[in-house]
Amino acid sequence: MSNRQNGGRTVSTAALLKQCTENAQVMVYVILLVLLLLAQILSPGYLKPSHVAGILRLASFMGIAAIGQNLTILTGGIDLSIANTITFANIIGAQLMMGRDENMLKAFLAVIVMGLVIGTVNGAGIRFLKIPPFIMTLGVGTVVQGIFLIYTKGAPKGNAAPFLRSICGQSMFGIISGIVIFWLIFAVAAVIILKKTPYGRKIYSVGINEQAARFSGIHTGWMIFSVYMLSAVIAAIAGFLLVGYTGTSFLDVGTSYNTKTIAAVIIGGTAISGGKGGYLGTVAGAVIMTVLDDFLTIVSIPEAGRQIMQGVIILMLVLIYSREKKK
Amino acid sequence: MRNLDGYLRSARNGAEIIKGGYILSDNKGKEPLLKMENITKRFAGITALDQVSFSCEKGEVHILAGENGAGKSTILKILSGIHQADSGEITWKGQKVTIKDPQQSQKLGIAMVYQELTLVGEMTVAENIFLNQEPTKPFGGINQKEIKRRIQEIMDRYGIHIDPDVIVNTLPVAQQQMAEILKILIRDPELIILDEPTSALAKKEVEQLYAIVRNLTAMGKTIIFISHRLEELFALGDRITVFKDGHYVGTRKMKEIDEEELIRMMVGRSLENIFPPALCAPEPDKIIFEVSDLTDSEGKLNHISFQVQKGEVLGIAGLQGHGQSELLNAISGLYNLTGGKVMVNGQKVTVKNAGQAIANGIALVPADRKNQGLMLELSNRHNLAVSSMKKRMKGPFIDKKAESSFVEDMVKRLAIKIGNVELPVSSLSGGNQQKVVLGKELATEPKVILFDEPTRGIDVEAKREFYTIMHQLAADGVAVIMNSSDMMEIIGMSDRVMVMYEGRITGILKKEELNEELIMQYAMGLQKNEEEAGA
Repeated sequence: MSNRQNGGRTVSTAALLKQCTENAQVMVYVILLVLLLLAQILSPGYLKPSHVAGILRLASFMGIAAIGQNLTILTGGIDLSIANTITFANIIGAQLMMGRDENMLKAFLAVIVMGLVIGTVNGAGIRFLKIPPFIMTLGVGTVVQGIFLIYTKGAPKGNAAPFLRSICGQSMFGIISGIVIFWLIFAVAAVIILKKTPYGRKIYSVGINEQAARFSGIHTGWMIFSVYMLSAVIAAIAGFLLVGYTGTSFLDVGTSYNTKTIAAVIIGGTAISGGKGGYLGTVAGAVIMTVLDDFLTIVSIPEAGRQIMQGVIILMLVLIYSREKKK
Repeated sequence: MRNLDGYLRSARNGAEIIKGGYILSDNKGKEPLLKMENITKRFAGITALDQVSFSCEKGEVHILAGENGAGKSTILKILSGIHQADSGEITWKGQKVTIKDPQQSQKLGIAMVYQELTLVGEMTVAENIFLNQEPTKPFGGINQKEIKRRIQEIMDRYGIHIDPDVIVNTLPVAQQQMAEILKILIRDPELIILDEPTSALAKKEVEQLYAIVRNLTAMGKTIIFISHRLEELFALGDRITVFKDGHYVGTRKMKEIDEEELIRMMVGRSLENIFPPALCAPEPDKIIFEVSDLTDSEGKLNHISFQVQKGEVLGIAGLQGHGQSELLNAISGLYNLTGGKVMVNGQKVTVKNAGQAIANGIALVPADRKNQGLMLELSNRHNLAVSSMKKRMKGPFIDKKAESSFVEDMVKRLAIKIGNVELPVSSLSGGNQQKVVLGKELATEPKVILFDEPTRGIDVEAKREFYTIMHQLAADGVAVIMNSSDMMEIIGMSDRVMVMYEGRITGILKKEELNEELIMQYAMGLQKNEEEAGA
């Protein structure tokens, strides 16, 4: 009897281990854990609560913007207009707020409208004109950049409302920043929508086989339109929240977010070809990206070195995932 | 006779004489080319192969038969290095080998022509054939002359006719298949595996393929051939090995076995029982589905009108590409119409997209299950549930419990052989995959169900199950329409048959008058049944 029990346990541990290595969504958390332990060993005190809270706060913006990226990539597309959407939202937000709480709602609504417009253009181009997402969003992103350069004449004005600043500040709830709570809410919503609603199921369907999705009664055109819409609106919200962090606006505040969000999604185990993965892994992906940047800064590796190492690490992870898939 | 003939032909080629000795000596006491013994393979709890054995003599056409899920594909994938056996032994020309990957299998001289074509559509036939192994000129350029010469040589040798400079995409499927075979022959393999090569071919093209296969064996090549078409097995095979449910059933000489025995080996049932009896009689005065004047902009559909009676199975026959699939797709909202109307139970419905068609009670089991029917890499659960998610909601969320019990019920109802509902649907055999497509459609509780080539490439047993379900649906008052290029199926299943030619209905035939020749006359536009056809 005891023999059989032992056998059973071995099997289940082995199965668990197998699941971990096969499921990129699980593996990314293992990688995150290893990374954090490594950081703690090399730089004692790295894992103290206040520092972890700081990392999460930094990761929040990337994490939120990555929701939209995650949706577009799951449908088999990509959104390369996220970076400039974030910057433009940041500029509009700061300019309309002018550092006053009473302007916040107005600024927020304006930013949402901007997101809706960008999303509509992206969605319409991809859906109706059948322009590949890569080209469409890249083009729209560039146009947005042109527009905000004209709008600001190269010198953005305005600054964050005190309330927004407090949300994004060091500690709204104990040591946790308000923005982290925001991210948590967004993350829970994203995971639930993807896992538990027909909308989520349809996203996976479209991503894995658009024709079969259409034959199954899914309105694939609308699905594709809607994810670009969501992506732009979410990026706009991220850009708005970012004003609270930066205080004022500047012209390249969002520039790095295209690569950051794509990296977070891919590191998080979502297949770049679409249809596989999910947001849970992306959360870890965003934290990994932040920790890498942060830790390499702490051990005083210059910006150029950090970028090289980040690039190499992303490539390594993608390599590991694709090897897993082949088995 | 064929072997002797083969010997004589190969005798022209000096090198083949010695190898030809295998053929003449009737293989007694000789080491077979390939021997696979006690092969076992498990996938996620399902035993796909249980201690099966299989061997091939040089120069023969060896048929591998069995229902879907019998393990044919699995053993061939082991042979071609895609899967590795859990246990068992492979002997190749008297040497024990382990085949670790496809490259190794290729090196041994084993080549497989897959059901799915693997050519790059945008390239020419010649470019595809020499992809990655282009002969080069001294300075690194591609030696086009050498390519032409070698292709011509192979085509002459095996009697293949195809223009090597044509872009693959522009070729019909049959020609693409020839190109695929050509691509393999350039490597000069000894053993060639053809996995259901005829499932997408018309009769004349099948004949061409037969001729090529015969040429190949005459040259001393060995063929393993998988097919579900009985007549084909007898026309081509020297020997046959039958698998059933992952077990080895037996190997016979084709000359010493008849259809009856073969079917018994495969399913344990005789031929007459393939088409089950209808469960009810059609009621001619009760029209439950009707279309009138369906027309598109491309001329694929010309003023199509027909009706479906309660309790009947309406067959659609015709040569390939005369608008049958377009008609079914149009009714399901997947093909644009410029005019006409669709009526379900006397109510006019709009079918602008598939979602709308489903909402109006029209379901389609499409012809191409891999591209249109299934999301292969997603789970069985996902695939079964995806068209009917709205039926199992808890507020805005999917009711996982209701879904689980729905999936369980459907798996039971259709007897789908499934290891785990969370595994990708690609893990199932072809027949079971097709059942998942059907389950997905039945879940929408259709009033009209359209089957487009429902049993293409699935085994006798699964076919029979499909037929039973169709009769059951008809008896339940669902309008059942079936398009099929399998004449036996059309005659065996339909209460009435509507024949299409160039996007028109040339005739609607009653059950009593159904025979193959009559249907062909209508299908080739030689006869018209004006009064029935309306237009």
